[in-house]
Amino acid sequence: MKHKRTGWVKPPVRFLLPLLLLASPARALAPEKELQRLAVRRSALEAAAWKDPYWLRLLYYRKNLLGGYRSPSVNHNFFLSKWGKISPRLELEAAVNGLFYEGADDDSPECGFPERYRWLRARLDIKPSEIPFKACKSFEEWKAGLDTESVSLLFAAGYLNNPSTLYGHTFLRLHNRGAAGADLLDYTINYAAAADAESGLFFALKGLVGAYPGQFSTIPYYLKIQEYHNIENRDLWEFPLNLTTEEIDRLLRHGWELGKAAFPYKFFSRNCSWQLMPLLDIVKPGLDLSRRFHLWVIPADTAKAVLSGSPAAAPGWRPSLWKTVDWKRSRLSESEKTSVLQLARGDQNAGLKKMDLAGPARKAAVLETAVDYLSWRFYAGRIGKAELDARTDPLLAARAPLGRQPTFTGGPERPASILEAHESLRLGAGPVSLKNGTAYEIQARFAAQDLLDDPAGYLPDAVLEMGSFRLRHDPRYNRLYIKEGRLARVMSLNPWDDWVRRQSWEFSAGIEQADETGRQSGTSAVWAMNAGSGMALEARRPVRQIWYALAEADSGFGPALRSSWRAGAGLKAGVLAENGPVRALIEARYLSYAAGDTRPLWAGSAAASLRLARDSSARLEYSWRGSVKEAGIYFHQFVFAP
Amino acid sequence: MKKVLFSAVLVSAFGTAAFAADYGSAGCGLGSLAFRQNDMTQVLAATTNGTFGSQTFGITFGTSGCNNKGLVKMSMARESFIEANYKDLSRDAAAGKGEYVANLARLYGFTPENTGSFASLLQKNHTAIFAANSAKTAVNEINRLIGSL
Repeated sequence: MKHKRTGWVKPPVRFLLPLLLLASPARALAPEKELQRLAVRRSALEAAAWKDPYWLRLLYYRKNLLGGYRSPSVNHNFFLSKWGKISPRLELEAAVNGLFYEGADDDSPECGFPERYRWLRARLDIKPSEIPFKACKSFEEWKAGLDTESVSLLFAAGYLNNPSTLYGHTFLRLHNRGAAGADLLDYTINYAAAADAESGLFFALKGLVGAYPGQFSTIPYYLKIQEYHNIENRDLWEFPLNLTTEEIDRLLRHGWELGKAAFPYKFFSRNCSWQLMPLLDIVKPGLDLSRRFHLWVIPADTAKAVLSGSPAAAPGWRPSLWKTVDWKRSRLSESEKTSVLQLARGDQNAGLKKMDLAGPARKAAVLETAVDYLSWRFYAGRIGKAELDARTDPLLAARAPLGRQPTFTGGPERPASILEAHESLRLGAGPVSLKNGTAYEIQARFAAQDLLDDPAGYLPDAVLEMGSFRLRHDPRYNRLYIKEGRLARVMSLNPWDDWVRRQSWEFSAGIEQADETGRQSGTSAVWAMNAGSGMALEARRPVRQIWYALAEADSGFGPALRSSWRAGAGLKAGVLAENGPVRALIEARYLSYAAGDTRPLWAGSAAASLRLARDSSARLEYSWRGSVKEAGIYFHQFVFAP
Repeated sequence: MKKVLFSAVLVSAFGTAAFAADYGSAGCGLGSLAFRQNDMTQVLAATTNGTFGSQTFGITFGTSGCNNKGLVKMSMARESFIEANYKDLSRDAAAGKGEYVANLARLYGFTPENTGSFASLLQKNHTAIFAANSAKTAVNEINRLIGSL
């Protein structure tokens, strides 16, 4: 082709071009409007409005190492300028231009970003008489639909038997004005990752690097209850935030803006709970929450941080489906319990016939418990939808004709809330007596609990440890070594219950010292991974005890082992006892290795902890591994993760 | 099993993964709420269709039951509620009380004072309303009963 692309404008039009360019933005404004636009633009520049911390906050700008700005939103609809992602200044200029948008009001930038424009008008002192407000029909309808009277922070407690939710989840609930007891119809503001169907390693890696976009949505509260109370069987805590009317308006205006944003979702650091922090910082600028969280964000911590800035109010609590069933069961006699099992799992017709002998109130109580129990069985994956329907329908058909009956009043006993729980990061130090003298140990564990820590506000009878390190100095050899560097350990002890029939299980991965190899202390580090499954039983007298036995599979890698590795299986058994502030754990395991280094491992420990205060405890621990024995005393302090 | 366990461990290590649950467009539109099993593989597979680029706030929705702002359409509010809470509602209706009945009563315009009569209506006609295990039948049946009051 010979002619250049610039030659496309026909000669008669050419002379108009400079005029068109002058009249930017793209659409020509009337001269007086254009003068007004230039004036606003100038005053914005003079005021350096783009440097205003609130503007930077509203667009989530972060300063990078080179001094430039960057907003994490991967959805470009969140910006008005095509350079908005990296330039707060150009974005502000685009916002100024947006004031003069001449299309339909509802499509104007001002209606798309109501909080940005509220701030901009206030910052530059633009009066409605100069530039009239736009009529934002969609936004106003949405806001009226939510009709928010108050806002609370909801915390879905962690649940060990559901791996995606070990640590819990937080979201906001918008309480509808005048709900008059119909509060299930409220909406929530929820931030979640839009993950794809990937599973396993790839899924986890993508989640780590932020390959999944996270988005905000307004999900009806009743769906969140279905999700947490029923499907995932978790407790829901509700903490009132006591926001003022102005703060609620700000939340809604900015929430509307967030519908156009998508942020990279990172499991550890930019997860469901973190993204609520900058949102609440905008709502309540004094909180400054987002600066308090860095590498590691645990929902319980964010909830605590949010609530530390709000006046204390009694939290609401909605027990999980199982807790509800368990509580109803506790209100039944032994023969009624048997009836429930027969109705839900046995010969239902015979069970219903037998029920005819009972009075209507007791009959109703048994039927209601059986229906709830069947729901739990369905959500726990014990039965399918067909069996759920087939077994539930006759029970409800028998229940309804009984009319209103006094069956259950009250509810399960409320456990300690996360506000009463120890902080998640644990630091520790203490002397250890070894065969050849005393060594000294310091410990750090990022999260969150083991069997000897006070479980108040956490899960009972569970271990949930991430990043647990024990560093030891042995003066005899002047050696500093890693006694333990555990990536993760999760243990769920489920005392056997015929209604639940759930196994207990454990998993652990990390570095440990294989003292049984007979090498000098601190020179036998191996990478060990093991998993176990088994049974636990609960006894209540004289103190509460959990006895457990797990079949374990174990593998180890490291130069301390013959042929540098081993794989085998064995048994682990133990007992946990608790009485007030004292908790004790005795545990032993025997592993026999079939491949690699085939020397067996016989190890165990006896330990006790004393809770001194909410965030501190002392621990005494005796352990053996092969023929190597040690005893240590440690002081533990729980702190807010930096 | 191994794969499941492995996945479980990986995910457990990655703590606070919250996923847009796979109820897809639940709450918005009938026939859209698929019950999900709650075993580990299902949880891992709990995903949603990515809904990127949506202009408005409530992006998880987008079907006929929702308005374009992500709220449940007023005209679909009853249907959505009944469908999403079918089992809980059916249980409460049989007992003649409970929060699910109270919430539905409000959607049908009953006040806290006369919710009792709505509850009795559902309880008396429980089989007709709920025996088919179909949200559609339940909606039609309740509408018919309310209409004949």
